[in-house]
Amino acid sequence: MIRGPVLPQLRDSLWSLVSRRLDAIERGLTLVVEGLDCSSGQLGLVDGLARDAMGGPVLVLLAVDGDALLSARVLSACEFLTRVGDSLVTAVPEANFCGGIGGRVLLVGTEASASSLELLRRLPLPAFQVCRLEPFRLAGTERFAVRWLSAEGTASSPRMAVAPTPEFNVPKERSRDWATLRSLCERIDPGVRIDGDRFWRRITWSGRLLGEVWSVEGELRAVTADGMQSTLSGAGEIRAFADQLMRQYMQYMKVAGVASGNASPEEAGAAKSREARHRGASGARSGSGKAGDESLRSSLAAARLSPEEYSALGGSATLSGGGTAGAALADDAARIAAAQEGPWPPLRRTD
Amino acid sequence: MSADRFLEKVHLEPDLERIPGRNILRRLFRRGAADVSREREAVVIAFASGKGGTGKSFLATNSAIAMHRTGKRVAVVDCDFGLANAHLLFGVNPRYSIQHLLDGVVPVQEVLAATPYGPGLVAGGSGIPSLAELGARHMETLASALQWLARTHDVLLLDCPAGLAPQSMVTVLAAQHVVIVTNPEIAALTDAYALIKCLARQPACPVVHLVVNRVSPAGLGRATFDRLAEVSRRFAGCEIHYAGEVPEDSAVTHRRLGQPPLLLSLPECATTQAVLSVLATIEQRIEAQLRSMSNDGVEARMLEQIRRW
Repeated sequence: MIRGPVLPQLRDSLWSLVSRRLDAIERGLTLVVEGLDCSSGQLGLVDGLARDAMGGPVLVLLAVDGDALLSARVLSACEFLTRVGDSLVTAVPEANFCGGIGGRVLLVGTEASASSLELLRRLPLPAFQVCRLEPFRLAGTERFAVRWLSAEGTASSPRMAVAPTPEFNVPKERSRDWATLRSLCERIDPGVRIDGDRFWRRITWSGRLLGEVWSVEGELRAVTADGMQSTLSGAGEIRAFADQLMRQYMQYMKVAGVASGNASPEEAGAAKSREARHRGASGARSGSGKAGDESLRSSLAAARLSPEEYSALGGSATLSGGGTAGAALADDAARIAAAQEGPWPPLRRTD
Repeated sequence: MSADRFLEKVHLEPDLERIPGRNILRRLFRRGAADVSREREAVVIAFASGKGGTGKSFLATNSAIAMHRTGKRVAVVDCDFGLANAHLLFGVNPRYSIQHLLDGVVPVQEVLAATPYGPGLVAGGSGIPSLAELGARHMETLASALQWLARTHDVLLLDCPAGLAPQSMVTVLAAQHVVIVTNPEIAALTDAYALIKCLARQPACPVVHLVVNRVSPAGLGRATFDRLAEVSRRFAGCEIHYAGEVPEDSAVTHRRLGQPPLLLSLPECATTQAVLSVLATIEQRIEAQLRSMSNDGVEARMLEQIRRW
């Protein structure tokens, strides 16, 4: 039975997934300790204490369906941070928190806890963030995207897919450098896009990576598409990095010339093989793609469904009412956990 | 003017050129000539599915009765060699079945049984435990029998067995039109897609129509088709045509042996109306494509597949 992708619903399974993938939720977010009691044992444990890219403490809570104490635990965590957040630098030395960086509470949920997330995101709590993991299946593997739910309700509006990316947390002394880099990027090409999360920005053109910039411990660090790293600490470094971006952009422009006949022989060959693969994948109803000389048995064997086809058809499982979805949750959780064992590609936020 | 003189004049191009509306006349004469030269043969429609129990036999038998009531000579061939049930839906117990035909015991003329509702029936077998026991020789016998049936009827409906065995595919590919019957559940859907994918790989892919059976609520059939059509187009490069949906109906599932087919016992019920609507859609498309499709003959088509076995 093929079903749509699902995330684990049980706390332990979900935490096992989230704790290993905190970096996918936010760049630089790393788990320090699990199970933090900040309510004198009355409301249960906060799932984890993490450190963000700026060195600030982040209390990570999971929202699971049927958790009656979730709201109280969120309030308790926020209050805890207000009371003792500054002291965590010394109280948890193994975390290597940076002094003077405010803490945050991060609530992570899934579709199953959507109603709880929707209620909690409306709470006017300082330094409180809510995100929802949206599972999907790509090429037969389970993945998830992170959808940030803002207090203003942008995520619930129809325009959520184009909601602005979170504000880049630039160190104050580097904000001018960042503004300079942005303007240089805009001058490269109007199609250059800059997006990312609080501590990371990706610079792309036509979906192709030009470079990345991180805000890490009071610095702006950059890496070009070919892996050259630098620290952007002045006008000279900014110009040098922008120059690298421009070179990368020119290379992509050259590759794009394949379509207009300006390609090198290697590029043209690659394009031809891509076309051939596409023809093969898109079936054989017309012309030479048909299995003219193929035996009947061979064509039957070739009709075996690929994971992509299963995946594309799997969405229809919901059409039949999804009656077996509940019974197969454990199976799905196991499959997702198994998929976690393999190298997951970098996850990207959807908004 | 004598008839010979008239025909001679008509075939003289310079004379025809002087006649107003000559292009229409030329088309009419050419079409008539083509029809005379080609041997008339029944439209062959296969009812197939990847998964069993989707309602192929139900649709095939009721479609046959509906077509018969419009004046067509219809025969149903139950190609399910092991687990046939079309004869039960027709309420007959023929003396001979396709098993006797394949074994060469009796000719097709004797296997073809009359039913109380009009269409002829070649009943399926029940004594052949496995399709694997059917070899090329059996299939050639079947091809020859289908050819005779096609020449003596207007419409030939093949109730094909489920699955993707070569024997099943040979019977499916004997048809010019394949009606794939599926249900809006993932198992039936993936199996139907596997069949479509397999058909798309064939050198002469028949026209594929899709019927979604046992649909609840209404409209789910269209959604199911949209999904399947998109996947078929994207991955198999195959266009499929939506024939319609048939609702889930307890009157169908709770039918008892000996009851007349639904089309006759409950002519006004939603299921009957849906079947008629599906049939009208399929017939309309067949009619539209009749002249554009080449017709090599059912036997030639089957022999071609047997050659590729």
